[in-house]
Amino acid sequence: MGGPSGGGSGGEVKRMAQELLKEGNAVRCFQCGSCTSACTVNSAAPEYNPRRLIEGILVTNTPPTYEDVWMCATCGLCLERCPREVSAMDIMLAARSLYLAGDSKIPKDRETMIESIVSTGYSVPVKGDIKKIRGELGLPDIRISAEDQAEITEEFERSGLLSLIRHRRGGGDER
Amino acid sequence: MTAYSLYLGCLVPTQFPYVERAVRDVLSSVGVETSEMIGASCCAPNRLFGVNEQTWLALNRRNFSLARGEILTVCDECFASLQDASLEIDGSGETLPPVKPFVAFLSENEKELGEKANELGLKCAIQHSCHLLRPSKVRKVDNPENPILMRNALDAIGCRSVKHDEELSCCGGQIVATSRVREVLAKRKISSAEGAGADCVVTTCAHCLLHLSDHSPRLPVVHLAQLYALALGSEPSAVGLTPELFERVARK
Repeated sequence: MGGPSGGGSGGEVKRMAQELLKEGNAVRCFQCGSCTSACTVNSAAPEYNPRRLIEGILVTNTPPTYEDVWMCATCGLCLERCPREVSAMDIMLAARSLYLAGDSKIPKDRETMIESIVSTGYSVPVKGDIKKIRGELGLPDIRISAEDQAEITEEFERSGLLSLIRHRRGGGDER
Repeated sequence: MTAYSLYLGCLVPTQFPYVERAVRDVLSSVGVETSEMIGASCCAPNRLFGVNEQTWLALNRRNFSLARGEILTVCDECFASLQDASLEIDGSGETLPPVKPFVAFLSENEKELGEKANELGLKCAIQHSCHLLRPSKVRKVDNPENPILMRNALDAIGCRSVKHDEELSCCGGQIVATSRVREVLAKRKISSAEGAGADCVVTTCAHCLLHLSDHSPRLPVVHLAQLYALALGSEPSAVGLTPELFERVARK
C-alpha cells in the first residue's frame, strides 16, 4: 500500500496522526492485537492490519494510508473484541474525512452515491422498470418532491461537502 | 397494536420492491398500521461513509422530523445509522422517536405471527448483519457473539438455521469497490452456506442482500421478510421468491 495520496507533506502527515489520537479511544490501545485477529478484512488481506495501523498513530506519527482507510468494512468486530474499547473502525472513518479535507478525493463509488443522494435523495439510482414493478405490486409511488429534494441538497451545501467534492473532482486520482 | 413510521431506506424501494411488498404483507397480517415517511432521504450509513459527520447528522435530523411515532427499519444499515444519529441528537436535549429493526418487531410479535404462519421447512444459512449486532453496547439488539433473534424468528415459521463457519463474519459490502476483498468475503460466505447444505441465505440487511446476491449464482439470498410473507400466505412471485426456492418449500 502506498503512502498518503495527494502528496501531503511530512508536517501534514504528522498532524493527521495527532488528530487521529483523539479518535476511537486510540490512546487506550495496548497493542494486544485482538482487533487484527478479529478483523474480517485482515482474514482475506493480511496487509490490512488494524493493530499496526494504530501503532503507527501512537508510536511513529504515521497515519493509515488513504488505501487503508477505505479498506475497512465497518463490521465493528475490532471494537467488539477489544479489551480496551478501542475502535479501529472509528479511527478509519475519522481518517476518511481528514483525507478529504486534506488533498485527497474520495473513492469513485462513494462519490457516486453521495452525488446520487444530493440529486435524488437515494444513494442508488432508481432502476429503470422499478416504477412499473412497484405499480404491479400495489406499492405507493416513489416520490421525493422538489421541496424535499431542495431541503436534502441544502444540507450538503450547508456542511460544505458539496463544494468540497465538486472542487476535488478532476484532480489526478485514478486508482 | 402499535403503529409505526416505516423507514424504507434506499435499496428496498429502488432495487427490491418485492421485499417492500413482503414487509407490508407481514405488517398487515398482524394488523399493524404504518405511516409513510414521504420525502425521507438516504440514512447516509456509517456517518456518510466517514466522509462528513455534519451532513450525516443533518440528513437524519430531517428524517426523524418526518416520523410520526416509532420508526421501523427494514435494512440494518438504516437501523444503525438512525440509532447512532438519535443518540448523538439526544445528547443535545431533543427527544426523538425510538428506532426498531425489523427482526425485533418479529421477535415482539413472535407468538401471533407463529400462530398464523405456515411452516416452511427450509434450511437457512443466517447472514447476521454487522450493523444490527455491533457495537453491541450501542445497538443492544442481540447477543453479538451468539445472536438468537434470527434463529428464533426462523423457528417460528418452521425453518431451521444451519450452522456455518462464516455466520458471524462480514459480507464485505461496505468495502470500497476497487478492493478485491469485497468479492472475496462475499464468495467465502456463500460457499460456507452452500457447504452447510442450506436452501437459502437469509438476512435482514438490504446491503447484505444486494452484495451477497451479486456473488451467489446458485444459492438464493433472501430477506427474512420474504420468508415471513410466504409463510403468512403471500403469493411467492409477489414477494420475489424464485420458483427454485419455492419448489424447495413445496417439496418439504
